Amino acid sequence: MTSRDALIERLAAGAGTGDAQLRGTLEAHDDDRALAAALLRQIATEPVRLAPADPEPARPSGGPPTADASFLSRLGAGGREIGNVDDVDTLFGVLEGGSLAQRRAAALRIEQRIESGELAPEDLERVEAALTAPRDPDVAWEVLRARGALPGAAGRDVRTERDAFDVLVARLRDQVRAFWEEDRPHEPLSDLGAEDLSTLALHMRELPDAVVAHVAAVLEGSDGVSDLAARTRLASMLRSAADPRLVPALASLATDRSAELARDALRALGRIDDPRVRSVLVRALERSADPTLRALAAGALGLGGDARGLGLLREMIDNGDRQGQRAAVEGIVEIATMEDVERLTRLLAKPDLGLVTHAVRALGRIGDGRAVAPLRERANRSTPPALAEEIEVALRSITAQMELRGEGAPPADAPMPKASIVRPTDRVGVWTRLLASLDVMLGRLWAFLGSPDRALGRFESAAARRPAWALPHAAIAFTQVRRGRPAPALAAFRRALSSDRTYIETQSRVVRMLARTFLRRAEEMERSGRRDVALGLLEEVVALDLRRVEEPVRFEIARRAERLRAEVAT
Amino acid sequence: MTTLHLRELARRALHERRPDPGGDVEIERVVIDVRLGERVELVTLSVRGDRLVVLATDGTASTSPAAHAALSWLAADLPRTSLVPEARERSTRSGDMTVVAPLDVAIADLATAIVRTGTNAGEAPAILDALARIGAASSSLEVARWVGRLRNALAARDEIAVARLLDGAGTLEAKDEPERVVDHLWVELGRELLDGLTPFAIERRHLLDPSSGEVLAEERLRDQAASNGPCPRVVNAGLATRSAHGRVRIVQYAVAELDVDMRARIDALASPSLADAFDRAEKRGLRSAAVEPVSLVRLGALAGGKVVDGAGEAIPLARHEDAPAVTALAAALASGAPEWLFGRWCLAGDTASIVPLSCSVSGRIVRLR
Repeated sequence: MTSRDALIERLAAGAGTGDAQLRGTLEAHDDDRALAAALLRQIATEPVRLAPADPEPARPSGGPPTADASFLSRLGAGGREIGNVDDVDTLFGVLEGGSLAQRRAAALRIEQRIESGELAPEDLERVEAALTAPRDPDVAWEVLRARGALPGAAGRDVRTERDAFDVLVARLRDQVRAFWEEDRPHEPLSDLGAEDLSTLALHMRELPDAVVAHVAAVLEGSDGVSDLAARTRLASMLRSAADPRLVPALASLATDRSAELARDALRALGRIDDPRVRSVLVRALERSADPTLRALAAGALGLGGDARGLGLLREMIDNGDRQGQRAAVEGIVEIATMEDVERLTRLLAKPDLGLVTHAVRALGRIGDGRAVAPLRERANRSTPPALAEEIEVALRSITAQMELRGEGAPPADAPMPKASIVRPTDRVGVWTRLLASLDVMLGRLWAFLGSPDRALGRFESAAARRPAWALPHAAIAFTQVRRGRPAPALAAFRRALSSDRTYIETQSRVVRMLARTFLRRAEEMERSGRRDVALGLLEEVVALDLRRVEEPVRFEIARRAERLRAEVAT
Repeated sequence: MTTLHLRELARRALHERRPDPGGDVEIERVVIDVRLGERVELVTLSVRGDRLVVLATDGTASTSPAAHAALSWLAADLPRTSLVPEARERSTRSGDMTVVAPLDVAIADLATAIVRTGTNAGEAPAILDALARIGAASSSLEVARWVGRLRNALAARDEIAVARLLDGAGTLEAKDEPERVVDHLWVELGRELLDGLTPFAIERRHLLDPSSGEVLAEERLRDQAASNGPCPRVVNAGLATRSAHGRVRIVQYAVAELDVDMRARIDALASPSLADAFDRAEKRGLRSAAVEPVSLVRLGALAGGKVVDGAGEAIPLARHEDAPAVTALAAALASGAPEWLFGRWCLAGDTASIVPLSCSVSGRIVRLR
């Protein structure tokens, strides 16, 4: 009798036909089918036992080994060692120039340092300035936490926004419960405006489990209501959510038939620090037939310190079609090396703003001083403020990395241009100025008393007396927004901008309302299928200095504009 | 005619291709489906040294009509008439010789092909062809999942799993009428994408019966409808049907969140030890080709990084199937007080381990897949 192990070997190697020995072992089966069945039956009847429990293997930390002995490299790709760093300037440097994990860890370490109460007042001032500087949305949650720990007005602002967020979450929690348990017809997330959704995405990691499970159900198409467009919209908003609870849902989207859903899922997955992410991304990189998906998967792996897709991305940048090139430049941001500086610098002259933005980010992440001059040159051309801001962030990153490497800051021989516009002359008499001011005061009084029509009349009067005075135009816009009329509000905001753009951009309250109004209107336009109009509205607002706008709104405007640009281009 | 059609199509395809990139190319093996009346036989022709080895499913090489037809065709010596009568051609798919064979025949062909070629050969053309015929012969998700498991076992060169799946294939597609279920409560504790005819083709929701502890499966293809709701959830089914092998279709239902009472019921249902869960899984059909049992196991505190059951025994986790989920489980359990693990049993060779689906830590349910 042949042993079972021998039978298994025969199955592995292939029994072939007319194997007399096997036939003899397994009785005399003339028919090959019967012989096969007998062999399989013999092997399959072994009892099952429990596998030995393997010890948990050590989780690799800090990415692949590297020959780079610089400070950032020694911190490890995961940034876990940053908990030992106390020096605020070093933490600023890592926050500007580190990898994604390092930047996040640096922001949280700064929060710890603030909460420890060990920072001197002058250090706190520098921390406040550093935390309010513009930076990428991927570290916004950590930076917001650090800002919330600050004493005084800076921290208070964040805490006030936090109160509004808590109200939003409580309301959404009830709506989600009602949607499932009372069979409400409207999916609660679809009722939220872009601003609220963006805020939720920013704070996703703090949301209750039930709300996150609901978000996952919508993404997976298990809510029974949301169509592909709604799911895509939600997936695209979760790019920087970084919540490991969403990994199962996003991983399922990564293999979805809809390439759009898969793209956004890959982008979101790359930003989540979770052991399940890597295998999903590797699979997408190795098995996807869509080159754009492969590029995004390569980029998403790069966010976690895995540069295996670098060769593919370089090839696509050099030889890919327009869409592939754009995806490749987006993908290479976190894994580009000094070898890529020339390749990326060449792209700065391209007319595609999305492409240029990613190239700027990549150059910033590389941290090579050779990129400083081309970036400054690009900034000195007619550059939209959004891109100028990206260049500013990139230059800060390069400077920080050079300082951390001990190379010193790059020479500041080419100053950054200001994006603002020269204020127009307001040549009116004193009496007219007084009357206009009186109109504005009375308008505010009427608005306070709940008479918007009368308030509008007064503001219009003031605007007519002093057309170059932005304030009455802004007041008209505010009143129209409060009356739920965004269209005339947009017109008033535009008049205010043409009167005095600097004033509008520097008034936090005004520029925030303006950004929100444009965003909401763009959202309405997009929903009604007018993507070109929506993109036009967003381009208008992207052209402004939005540094005073709340981060969720600013990020959402930039993200939506980028997406629409890509959609309209294709 | 079909035979000539295949040749013509091959010529056309060759003409449309880019020029030959060059290099030495030798065809070492061809597998040909030959239809003879109602039957489809597989003929494998391979070169071993200077010899031609002929294998056929309808007898020895010297006597097999299918082998004769295949040799004639390969030698371009076929008379200009097909062996297949004209009337039979309607059942063939255009463009190739694949036919929709009855499921049992297709599975038997697959078993024969695998035994002949061996698992070391990977997915040989004969195996791929038989798998395609199985997919065409049945639209059942149970069969699709079986194909997915078999392909994974072949890819892993796991002969025992391959043998077990092929040997148990006769239990697929039970003929019993689905049982009607009215007013029943289930708790979905796990949801995962599984390989079917194609990778990640099937979404399975694992539904725990809080009254009996039994776990059923609701399945759908990615673009098919199923009951709606997040995971985890309570499903109060007004009407459902339950088929053999623990598959359920929920027709009318309401969804609710898990409240404290329900969580307490789930906690109470957890098997106190891994041995107990293993026994139950064996009774449920751990070795079956159609069933993949799921268990709820009480957990103890992590012991030196190991996940242990309520009795302190280390739980074997299916790292070979989903290592990242195992790592995520360990990380989740380290974040609080472990309560229970909900996982699907899987077999590698003759050893069983658990693929973690979800776990409960300090009162929170963490989805892992």
